[in-house]
Amino acid sequence: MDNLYKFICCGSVDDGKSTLLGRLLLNTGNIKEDQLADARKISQQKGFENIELGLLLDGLLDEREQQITIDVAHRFFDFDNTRFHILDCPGHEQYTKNMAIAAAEAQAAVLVIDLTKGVSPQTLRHIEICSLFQIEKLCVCITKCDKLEWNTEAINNISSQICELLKDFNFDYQIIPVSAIENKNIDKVLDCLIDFKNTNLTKENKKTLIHIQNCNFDGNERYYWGHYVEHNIPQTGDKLTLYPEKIQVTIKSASENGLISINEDVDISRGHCLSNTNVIVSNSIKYYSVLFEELSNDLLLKHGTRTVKVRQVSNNTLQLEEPIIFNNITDIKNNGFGLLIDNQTKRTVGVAVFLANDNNLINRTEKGFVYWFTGLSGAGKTTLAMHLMSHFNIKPILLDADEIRKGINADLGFTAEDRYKNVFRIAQMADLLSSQGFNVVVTCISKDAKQRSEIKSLLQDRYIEIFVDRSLENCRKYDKKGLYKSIGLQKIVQGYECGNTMSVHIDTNFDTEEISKTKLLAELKKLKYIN
Amino acid sequence: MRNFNHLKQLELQAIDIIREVCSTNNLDDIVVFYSIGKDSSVMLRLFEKAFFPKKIPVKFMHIDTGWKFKEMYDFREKIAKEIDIIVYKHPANLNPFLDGRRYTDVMKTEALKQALAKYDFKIAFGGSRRDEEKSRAKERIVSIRDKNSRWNPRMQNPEIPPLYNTHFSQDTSLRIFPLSNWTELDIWEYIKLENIDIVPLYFSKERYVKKLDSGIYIATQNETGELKKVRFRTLGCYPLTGAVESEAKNVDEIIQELKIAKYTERITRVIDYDAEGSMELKKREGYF
Repeated sequence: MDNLYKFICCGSVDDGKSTLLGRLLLNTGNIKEDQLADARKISQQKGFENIELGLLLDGLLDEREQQITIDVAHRFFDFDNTRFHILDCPGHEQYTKNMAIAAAEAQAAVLVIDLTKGVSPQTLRHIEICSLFQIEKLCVCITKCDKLEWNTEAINNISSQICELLKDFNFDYQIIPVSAIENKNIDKVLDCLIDFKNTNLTKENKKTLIHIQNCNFDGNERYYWGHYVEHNIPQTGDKLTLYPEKIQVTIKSASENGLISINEDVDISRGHCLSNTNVIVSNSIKYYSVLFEELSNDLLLKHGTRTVKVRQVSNNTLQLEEPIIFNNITDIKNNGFGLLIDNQTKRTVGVAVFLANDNNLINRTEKGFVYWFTGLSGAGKTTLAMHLMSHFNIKPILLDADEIRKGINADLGFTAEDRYKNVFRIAQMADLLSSQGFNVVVTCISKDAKQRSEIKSLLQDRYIEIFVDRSLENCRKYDKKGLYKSIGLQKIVQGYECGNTMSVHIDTNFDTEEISKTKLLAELKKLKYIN
Repeated sequence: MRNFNHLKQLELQAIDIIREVCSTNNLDDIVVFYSIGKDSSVMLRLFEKAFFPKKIPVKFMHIDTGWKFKEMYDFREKIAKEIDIIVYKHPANLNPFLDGRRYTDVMKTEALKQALAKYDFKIAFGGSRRDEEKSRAKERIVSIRDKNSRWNPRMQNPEIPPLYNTHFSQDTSLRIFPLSNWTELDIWEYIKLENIDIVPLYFSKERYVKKLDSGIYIATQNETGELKKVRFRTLGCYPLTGAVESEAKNVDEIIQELKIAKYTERITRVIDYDAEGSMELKKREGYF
């Protein structure tokens, strides 16, 4: 067998999942005579005329009693040089979470819809879960077509309903009307799965992502056990980034069994990560959860090779004691979720799906942002900057021009040249800090448009200019600090030049402090500069 | 791994599980059940690979009933020269001919519980596969047992391989099945690929056998058997393990034979045919 391909079989209860799968197994020659005899015997005992194909799959006694599937069953069949791994999902609403777990493991889905019943709320729920867990391929089977004698109108009706429904999603899908009992169109389902598998094979993926499981020191050389998350094994000489330190290392050797050594003499242990693609290192994660039990307040999160304590769960955000190395599920599926474990019972109580950030933001948070508040003195820069600071879980670094003038820039006066230097030094500090991954908040009058455009070319896409707009007249009116009483300063602050580098405009001439604060966060969120 | 054939993928997944469990737990708490059969031979190779270039740091244990085939004991002696194998046998010494069902309950299920308690093992690796039997199709790779070693299908953790919860509370223990997603054919193809040593009983040879309704069994010295070319698809206690008529003398021929086989390997095991769901009931009592 050249390949291994996992798919789930889902859909509403009694829509004919097990029967269809039983047929798939039977037709591909993957049911042996003793298994068939077993199913035949039980079918007879239960008074069925023919062999109930579903019995080839339902395994637990409770399930056979009630003729329903409760737990996910794992089956395998070989076809077209491929090992297909079926995860047969329960259809009952109360077992939807079991289906979700299976979806997280699978690459494709066979969704069954009963022709006589049509699309149910449970069908929709299953589609949504497939989408959440990044299943790209969907084989929709309209089952029990024999019951309506293959009525074309009915089949077309449901087909168009399904098409309408799937418009809102991003699946690559096929719709196939079938009858497992009459053994019709089962070959088309198999062709569809083969199609899915082949497109998966040709899809290019150059991402390498390795979670380090352990260090294996044999006395001479340090080997690491690596878990390959993305399906690529690095080559000798490949440069990868070691997280969370963000140090570049060179692969000395990497075996297909996950035994890795590197050239550099750096300290690597369990929980580290090697990657050539962007990952997020954070202890604050936005998530969506699939829960099996109610969450207690003593929780662990297992992700990659790390198990960390959860400090707080709020607003769909997980606050962890230590940062983990992860991705948004839409970015790298297998690095995009974690298990929630009760620290007392050690049971898995749920799955957290990471919806951390937009891809856009992920790429840029490799480096920090510089939130540059500009505007006249007394415009409200500091108030708004403080409000932004409090929004972060990891506090950004504050560079307040007034404070810096007291220290590093104490040598500078107020001549045009000195004022230029003052702003320039702050920009350089912001550059230094943000390029090492820190977020920086700057409050600085910086009224010279030409200089701000220089700063923008220095900081590039890290630079976010927030213009706190209050007229000189109004600043003077609300002059709490008594700044404008000094004639010298008045000369300095007049004549603010707007320029074209502004990202966010906050008008404090009319908006109250509260409204300004709300607007600031809303604008930054909209632009994806904050979570 | 995209370019790996499925066998290499299964191998890597199994090694990954072994390493993950051993990295997150105390090695003294871990034991690998060694049944002398083909799946155990594959497990041994996977453990060697998982820890290479170091030696396997966990113990192997054989639950002996005293009624295994002689060839199995010979093979165990050979393997014991390479790795340490703890042998545990229940003191009751029941007889499969006389004690019927109680024999399995005591000499296997009970013995297993005793052995775990004696050595204080909390995590036991086993070679079970999902394709072996229906209730096993629902089994987790990391499976929880209650304090009496009992399996409750309702209390299992949700599991999303390759992400495993390898933590457990004090009143529970774990069973780990790295071969869950392997089929009988995979086992044989891996034995071929890796040139793994197995008990010669798997290969066809002329043996003295007696034919009963439930299958073909090896004739004991006192019985007059007929000479037949047979081999074994599974190995266990000789009075409970049926042979199949076969010409397959080597691994290649076995693979060819399996590809056209009409029956599963379970047909040769008496334990599964007692009643509907018998394996599930045995597991609920603490059978592996």
